Amino acid sequence: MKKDYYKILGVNRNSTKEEIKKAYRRLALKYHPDKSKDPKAEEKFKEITEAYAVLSDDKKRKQYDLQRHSNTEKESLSEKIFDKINFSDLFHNIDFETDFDNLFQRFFGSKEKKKKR
Amino acid sequence: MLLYLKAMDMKIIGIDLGTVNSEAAVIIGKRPVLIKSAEGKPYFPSIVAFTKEGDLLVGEAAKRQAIMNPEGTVHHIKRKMGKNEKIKIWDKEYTPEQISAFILQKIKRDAEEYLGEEIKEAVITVPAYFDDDQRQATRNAGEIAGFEVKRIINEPTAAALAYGLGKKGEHKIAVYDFGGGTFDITIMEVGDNVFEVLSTNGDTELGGSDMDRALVDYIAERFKKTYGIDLREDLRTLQRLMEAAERAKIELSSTLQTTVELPFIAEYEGKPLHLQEIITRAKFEELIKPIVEKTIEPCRQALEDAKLKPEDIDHVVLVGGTTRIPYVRRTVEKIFGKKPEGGVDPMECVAFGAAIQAGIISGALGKDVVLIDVIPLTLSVETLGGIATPVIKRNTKIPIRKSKIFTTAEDFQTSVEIHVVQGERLMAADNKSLGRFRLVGIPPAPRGIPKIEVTFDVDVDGILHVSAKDLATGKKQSIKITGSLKLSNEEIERMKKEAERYLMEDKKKKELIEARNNAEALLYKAEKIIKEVKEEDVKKLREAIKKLQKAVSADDIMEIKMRNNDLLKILTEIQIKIYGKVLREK
Repeated sequence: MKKDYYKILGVNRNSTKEEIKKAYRRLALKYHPDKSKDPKAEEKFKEITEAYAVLSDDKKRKQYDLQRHSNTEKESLSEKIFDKINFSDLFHNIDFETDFDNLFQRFFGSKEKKKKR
Repeated sequence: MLLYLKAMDMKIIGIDLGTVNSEAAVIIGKRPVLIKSAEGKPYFPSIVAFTKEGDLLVGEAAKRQAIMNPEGTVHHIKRKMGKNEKIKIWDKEYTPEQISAFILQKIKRDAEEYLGEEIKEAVITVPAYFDDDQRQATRNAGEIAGFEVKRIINEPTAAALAYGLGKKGEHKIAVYDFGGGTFDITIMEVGDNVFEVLSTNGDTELGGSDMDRALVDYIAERFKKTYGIDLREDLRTLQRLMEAAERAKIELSSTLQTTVELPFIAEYEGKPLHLQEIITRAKFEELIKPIVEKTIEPCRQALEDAKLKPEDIDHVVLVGGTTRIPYVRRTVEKIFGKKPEGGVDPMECVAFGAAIQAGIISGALGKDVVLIDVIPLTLSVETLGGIATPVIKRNTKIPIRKSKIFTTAEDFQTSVEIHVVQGERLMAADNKSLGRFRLVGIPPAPRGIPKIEVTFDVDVDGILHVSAKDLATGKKQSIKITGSLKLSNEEIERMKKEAERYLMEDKKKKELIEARNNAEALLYKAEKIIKEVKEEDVKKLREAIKKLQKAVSADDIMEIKMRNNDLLKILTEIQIKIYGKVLREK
């Protein structure tokens, strides 16, 4: 279910930051919408960018590795985290950028009821 | 070979649409070349004016008459872009897009004249810190002017492209862009032909014009103290003062002292008053200090967002006329701890960069280069309690797509409103509203149970598409965010027609002037020749001259052309007679 960012960038789990950057640049020259007329290229480039945003950031990469690791242990990290963190924290902890996003349940107010208050 | 020619046909011009001046460039022979205005200058004053008679003047022509016609002249329209404001000139109202379109139209026409071919496509630059509405307004202006806008790109990014193109190795570049009306700081990384924006920050309402204003206030306050007259109250006087202040500011970049002299600036008990004020550089620096210092915090924030320290920056590039001020240069040096790069023209490089981006898109550049830009401001949705919950954070590379799951706050809530906002403030109401829509038909369930996936999709132009999907039913709603102003296609079309009308009028005017000039030259020739011709021809010639003179004074272009031809025919006949005779005599 989770995307394999390493595979998207064509690097492996031990690749250095420098190697990841080189790989990203090579792919950008190929798939950036300005460089490719293929309509699928933009979609592909969005994936590449998403992958690079995580793997180029030490903290996010670590979190991502950890999550992938626990996924393979067939343990849903999401529920674990859910138990521990209270909701007001979640609203402020907006630094979290990866696929963990679906852990955060954010609430839409309903307009009709707001007016009554 | 035909294919090559075809590719060359599609020239895309790069336009730096500035607050005070605009520049345009195009790739010729793989290098950017600046386009000259019809007046022969390498820039176009961003000034639009209407005379009392309703004639449109743009650029140099508008600048020249600004003092005489302050009510009919519009300056600094860039600062109004994206705002829901109308500009009233005489008895007609215009949107900021329309005024900007007049400037772009002038650039288009002059570029076509300069290059000798039709130009249909353009890349237009905007301050990096422009929000969605301001970008959309710029794009609309381009379309109203008759361009197909291929891309809106950020000014500092463009400058970095111009600076970094062809440089080998790895570079981290800080572009400090301080123009007439806006300030931007952008941190970029260049290597392997990839230009990557790391972060950007700025202030869209801070520029050299604020310095002019500070100087005007200083001078006017002193004048008021002496004579009790506020020079800023009269539009014409204020315009004279503003222009004098701008000149003084420019002079003070190279001299240590200057004098602002404005004779006959006001009257007191029937006697004329003259203004004479010595401004030292020290005084000027004291006046502009608060303005320049406002640029420090955005620089710090940009470095922090790029996760860099000042010493990590390899080059500091200065862009915009305001960076010519020594005090500004010293401030930049203090921020980054190194001297700014020389050899980059702060006025030209944005237009050059725009032309380079145009060249990347059209392929005219012939180089394998790519530019990856970022969104300057965080994109969020409003959630319970009016909080702006970020979906895509600022300085995220584009194009990008991101989704977040949201839920309901009330039991059995069957619809949610997706309110999209842009900005860094915590509360949605403090940010800029980009649009809102509702997702309805959510099956009733206790709060917290429904899962609504909101997806933000930002394309390569920075245009945002938003969709919301109820994961239980698969129901989906989506909108393309076109800015809160929402000029419809019909409105753009209408404005385009209107702009074209002015263009036609201009063309007609030009045609008339040309016809009149031709006629006058011919009349002069005829008057000279009439002394040498025979009696029988004199009458014929006189008559033709009279008719043409009448047509010229009536400004009737068709009539002028016709009578011009008649006279030309008679003259030719006479000349054949005379020269024929001369030849025979020999």
